[in-house]
Amino acid sequence: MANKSVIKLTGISKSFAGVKALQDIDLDIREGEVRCLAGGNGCGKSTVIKIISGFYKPDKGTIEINGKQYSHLNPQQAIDLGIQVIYQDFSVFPNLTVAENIALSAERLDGKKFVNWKRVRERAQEALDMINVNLDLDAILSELPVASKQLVAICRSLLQNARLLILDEPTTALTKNEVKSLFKVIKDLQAKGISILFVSHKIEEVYELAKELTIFRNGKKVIEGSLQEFDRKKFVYYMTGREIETVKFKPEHIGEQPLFEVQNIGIKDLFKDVSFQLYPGEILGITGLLGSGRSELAKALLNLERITEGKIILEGKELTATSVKGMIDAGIAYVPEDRLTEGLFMPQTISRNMIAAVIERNLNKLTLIDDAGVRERSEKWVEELKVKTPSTELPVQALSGGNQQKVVIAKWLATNPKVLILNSPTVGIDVGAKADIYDYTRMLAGRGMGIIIISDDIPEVVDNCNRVLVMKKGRITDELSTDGLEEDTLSDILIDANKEAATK
Amino acid sequence: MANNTEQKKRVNFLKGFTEDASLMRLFFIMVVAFILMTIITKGKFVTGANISSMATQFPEIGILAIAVSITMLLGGINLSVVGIANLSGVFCCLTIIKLEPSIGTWPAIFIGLMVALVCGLVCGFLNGLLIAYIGIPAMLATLGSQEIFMGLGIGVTEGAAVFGTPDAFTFVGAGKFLGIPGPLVVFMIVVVIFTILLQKKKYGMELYLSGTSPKAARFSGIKNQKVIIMTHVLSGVLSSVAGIIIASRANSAKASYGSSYVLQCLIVAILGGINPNGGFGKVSGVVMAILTLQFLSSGFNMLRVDSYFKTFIWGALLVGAMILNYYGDRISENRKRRNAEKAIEKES
Repeated sequence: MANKSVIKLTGISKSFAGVKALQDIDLDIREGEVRCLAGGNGCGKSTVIKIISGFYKPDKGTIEINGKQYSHLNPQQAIDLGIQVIYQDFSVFPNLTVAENIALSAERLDGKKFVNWKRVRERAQEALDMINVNLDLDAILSELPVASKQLVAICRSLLQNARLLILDEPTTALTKNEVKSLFKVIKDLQAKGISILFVSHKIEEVYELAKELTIFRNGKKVIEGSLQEFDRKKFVYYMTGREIETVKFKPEHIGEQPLFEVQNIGIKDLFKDVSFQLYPGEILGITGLLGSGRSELAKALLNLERITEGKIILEGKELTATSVKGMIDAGIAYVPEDRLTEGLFMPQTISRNMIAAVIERNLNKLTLIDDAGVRERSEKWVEELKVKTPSTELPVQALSGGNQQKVVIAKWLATNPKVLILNSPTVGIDVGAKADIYDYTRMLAGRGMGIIIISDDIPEVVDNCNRVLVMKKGRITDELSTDGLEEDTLSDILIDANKEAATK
Repeated sequence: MANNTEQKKRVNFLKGFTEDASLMRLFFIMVVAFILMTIITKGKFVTGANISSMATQFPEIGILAIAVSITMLLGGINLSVVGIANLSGVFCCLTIIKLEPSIGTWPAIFIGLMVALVCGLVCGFLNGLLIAYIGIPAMLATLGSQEIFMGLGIGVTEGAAVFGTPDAFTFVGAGKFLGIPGPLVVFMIVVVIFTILLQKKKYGMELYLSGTSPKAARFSGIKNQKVIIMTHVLSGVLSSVAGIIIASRANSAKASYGSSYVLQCLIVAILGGINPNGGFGKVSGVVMAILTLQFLSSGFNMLRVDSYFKTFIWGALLVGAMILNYYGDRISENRKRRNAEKAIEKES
């Protein structure tokens, strides 16, 4: 460890609205090192990235770069100091060409007033050569596969003199072969003296790539060291803080008659010919990559998007309501993907959020809002779902992610649904709250509710559903029982690993 | 457990205090303005004549301010309130003049009032349609419709004031009920109705939620478009009520009356704690704001202060109140956060 530090964080803390996202974090990344940063959802990984890239200002602590101390950075400073982050969405311009995407920001950085197109192409080619990759310079980004977009984003950062490259869960949407070539690129970069911070929670990848490991949990650094010292068990233990024994969901009792059924439903250009049945007591998983139509399907089930063909049937009767409210009243509840904008009214109180979907069921005889009743019922939900809050009259934004999600779930359970659809229910929430939510959904299934979990989190689907549907390009392509299903098998099906191997 | 409930109580109490903190501040400002004016005018301020004159002056702007406020709760605005008020006033007077000879004074007045209210309703509905279905931002839609309503009024009256309504028509604007000036009675009725509508009815809850986040509202099954239309219809009807008061007080109507009222309404709404981003604010705040401004205006009037100085004071008060709200909210935010932190730490 003779190499000098590229960046050194000391005692960094940051909280949001009463939730401690980071507590007293030290992190030292050295020249030419590939360090893995691991941790579950909501452990503070993304917060620390955003502090390094100058997006957030830490509450406490210092950042040291090149021997200089900073209390915080701003985004431009971070770029000037050679810090580059490749986010999950890559932040590329889909309507521009490869050359433009790679070279334009570097040109801007040089303070050029006019664009020299010849130079743009030269520089772009230079950057691609650096990582030994061939791409058509004139291809429009939106037409390229995900992996190529990622490479473009990496090239762009190289041209901005990256000394530290941060990759935020870079392999999520890649096939196995693509992951391999990405790793080769990363190793080439390392050989050129660029440091890499590789953020991931996939243990196999981490072993293949990194030598150093840092694990965060609940905003604290729990352990750090050379990867050789970790075996799989130890890794998982530190990541989750407990010897997690996941018990697979086994439905207690599945009804005879289907509770909910869709027949050949579709929305033009989004998804087509989707049919499935849901039995009472079941937890049905629907998985698919981003853009597979899974979210659009979910929204269609609540009339947030209108289906253009097919039928939706609940308890043997076709649902003909054309409004969202009609679906809610029929007994369908939908916990949306993005709780911050779709699920919650952030500055409003917890109790107001909880009655938002069924205000009319909270009126007294004079059709006035029954405040006492509302408070009573909200307090009951808070207790039942173990929402950590001192009062139901606090704004929802004062709660942590997991507790916010519980409020969303309570809001939908207050509608007294027969079918509960959860879209990505545990994104960005801590392990404890996650377990609470899983337990609760199992309990609801046990009571005979039909539950659909839509998620691209493979372990979540495999462990919590008894059946899973795979969606690709707007169609359901596979139906699997999760009994004895390996996570890797599902993951391969999801990203077409077999097909890829077959075409090779 | 006992400890827990005690803590709950304390937080509830705190919450009540902090949520209404801006109303408390407003109340304080209002009382100070009242006392200050009483002292400066050496007591002339609290004479019956002055109080009665104030009570006839502020209701029309107060009602218009509530009309603007409810659209602001949606995160929108209504810049056409004065246009609607004048147009309603003009139609009201024209109807009365036209019908009086054939059906008598009181029936004509009754029909005139109805025509005015329907005019407000239609204008509001039009605003709502432009915003909810055509998707024009409220500011532009109502800025445009303000010109339409005013132009229409000027066209109908050829720009002249409409005279010739019977004296009986002044019963609203200049009359008294049980010794209370008519405009004040109307204002009190409006305040009571809208307080209930906003705080206790399903519509009010939908208004606050939709104003906070139309997207989350849609996902909750709230029909945003319906809420927008309803709100602008109510705003239009309120404007026409103000229009009736104005016409009745002057016993005439003019299409271009009170063009400075729109800005004053905005000042009142903002000072009253209506959040221009939508979702927060109460009628009671607007009431206190209009009272404060009326105290200042009347007081300065008595002192024969230049009217430019009055404008200056209104502006200064608005900016001052916003600064006070900013710091006050920060303090209460921090306190809330600390409470939440403590509570969570205790539990975990």
